Amino acid sequence: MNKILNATTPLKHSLVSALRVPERVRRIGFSEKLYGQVMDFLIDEAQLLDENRVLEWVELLAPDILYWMPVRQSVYRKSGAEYDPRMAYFFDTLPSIQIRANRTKFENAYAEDPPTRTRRLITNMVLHETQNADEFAVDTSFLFLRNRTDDSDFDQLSGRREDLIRLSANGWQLSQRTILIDQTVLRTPNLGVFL
Amino acid sequence: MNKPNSINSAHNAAFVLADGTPLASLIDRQKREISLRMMSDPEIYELELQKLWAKAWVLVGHESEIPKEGDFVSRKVGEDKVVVVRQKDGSIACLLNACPHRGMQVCRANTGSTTVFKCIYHGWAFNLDGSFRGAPFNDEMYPNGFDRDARKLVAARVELFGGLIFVNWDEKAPSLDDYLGDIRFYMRKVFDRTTNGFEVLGAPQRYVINANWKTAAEQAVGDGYHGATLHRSLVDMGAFGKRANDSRSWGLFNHKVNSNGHGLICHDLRSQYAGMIHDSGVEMTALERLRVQPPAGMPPELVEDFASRFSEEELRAFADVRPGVGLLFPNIHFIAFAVPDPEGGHSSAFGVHTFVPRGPNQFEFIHWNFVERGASDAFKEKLLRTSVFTTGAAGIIEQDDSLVWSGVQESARGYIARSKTLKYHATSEPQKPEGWLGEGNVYSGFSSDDNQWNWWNVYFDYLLDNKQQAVQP
Repeated sequence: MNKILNATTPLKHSLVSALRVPERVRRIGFSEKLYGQVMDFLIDEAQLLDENRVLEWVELLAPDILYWMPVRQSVYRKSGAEYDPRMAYFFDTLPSIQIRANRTKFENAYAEDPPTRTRRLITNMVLHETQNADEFAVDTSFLFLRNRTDDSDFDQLSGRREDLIRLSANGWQLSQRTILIDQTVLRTPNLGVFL
Repeated sequence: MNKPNSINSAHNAAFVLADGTPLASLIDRQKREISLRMMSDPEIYELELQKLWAKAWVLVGHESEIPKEGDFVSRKVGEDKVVVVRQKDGSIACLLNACPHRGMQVCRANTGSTTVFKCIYHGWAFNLDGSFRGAPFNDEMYPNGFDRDARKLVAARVELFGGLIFVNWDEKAPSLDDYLGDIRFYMRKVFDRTTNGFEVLGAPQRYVINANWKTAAEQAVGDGYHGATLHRSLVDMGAFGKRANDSRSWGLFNHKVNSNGHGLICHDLRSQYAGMIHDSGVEMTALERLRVQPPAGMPPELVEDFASRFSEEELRAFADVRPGVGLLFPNIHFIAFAVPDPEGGHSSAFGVHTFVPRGPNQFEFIHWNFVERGASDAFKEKLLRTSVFTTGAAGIIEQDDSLVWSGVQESARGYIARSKTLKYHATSEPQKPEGWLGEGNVYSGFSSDDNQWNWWNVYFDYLLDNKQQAVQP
């Protein structure tokens, strides 16, 4: 049990020069205390986003945060290249994330006013120590539900997140998030929200 | 065919919808109004498949997506699935992705590389040019022989402009050059401007919006007016350095061009971006201005090459006034404008969107990013970062647009609301500014509905058969 699971992050030829691929040194299992601490962080983080407390969420980000989501395609098995890391839905660093978050302060940032009602279900967490003592590789699955206006159904997005989180003097910080979406065609009209 | 409301009727000038409404009555050319019913009626949608998507030049991608023999991408023309594939001789074919045997797709991946398209149903196989290659047990199944020609994949006409792949099912349609007509002169500086051309920055974004494709198209062709309200947050937040209450900001004061349904908004950099990018107080030559602010998607080192392809007169004009946004008829939205870089300084957004119909009440938004060939990885990375920040699904500009398109659609489904109209009253007579280069209907000054109105007129020409005869599939 607890064998090391490597990242699925597509890295070859990525234009995202700051992207880091940590060495997964040791798997931290469910029974270890740290697993629970990290899960707490992810739960808190998801709650802030679900409750539209985006400005508070930004405070959980490391100054060097890289937040990106490559495009996915449906390809034959032999081709293998489902993700195209030359193109992205998101490619953000702290300054652009702050601008996005600031939209919640303006009543004419219409896409999220009234806000859509969102629910982030974060599960299947696999945690690894990395070569950096203060940084951990956190891989999770997510189901994101978004309800808008008077729709009785949901925009649904699902996928895998490959995060790096860092234990800083201020507590846990998200330092890198790669979102590996399951859909080739997103069933949502915009990404005015964070995943 | 006796039924007047059949979409197969040969002449559609008097085409009548099932409830007795003549199609031609849904455009009021005196009042300059369009019935909101155009956005939601399934009968009109069916008519579009036949009269518009099967007859207009439709963009399916860029040749840099399929550089080598056998490389393919799967796309749609209207509701028809096609596979766009690089041939042995370097040319490009666009094949209907439907097996002539029983209709199954012969290609089921978004992209890839192959030597043969094989239908997985019964095994019929096709060469890259669509010709029949063979079938399992063919002699046993067809002991009396078969017509090899009837087993070809249907091929569309293919023409390129700046490497953009346009396709058309209609043998009688004009050439792409004639189709672009007067607009080609302007678009050369966007899409056909350097020796080596541009390339896609990866595979496109794709997402669906619950709206008719025309809600997006009629906006993209020339609606500068909406910026001051719908995108107001960009200014209030300081994300874009425009002056909120200055009508010369916001693309409200600009130069508009339309012709044959295509429409451009040309940004006047002398006023619009004066505070944002460079102050025009200093006298500069055209080349100097171009080096300070190269065309969107172009690194400064390629400006010399760009300049070598146009006359000095054209360069002078382009350095000040550039096509920034617009639409090639019917649904090809281009973006080529400067954007601020959240990390400091400025960058640009350069790409194309297409609004691909998925029934009357939904369309797929496809978003390609472009970059000039030969740009450094660092330049590409910055362009990617700033482009997806401003445009596309997560773009702080376009996320507000999607909200409006689906809102208009909700109205168009209502019985009362769909009997009401979209209004295009802000129209005027064309007037070229002094020294203007280029043809087409040109308007300078405050924002107007002229491009949109031209688009609707050409759209109705297609639906009412004023353009060409219907394609016989």
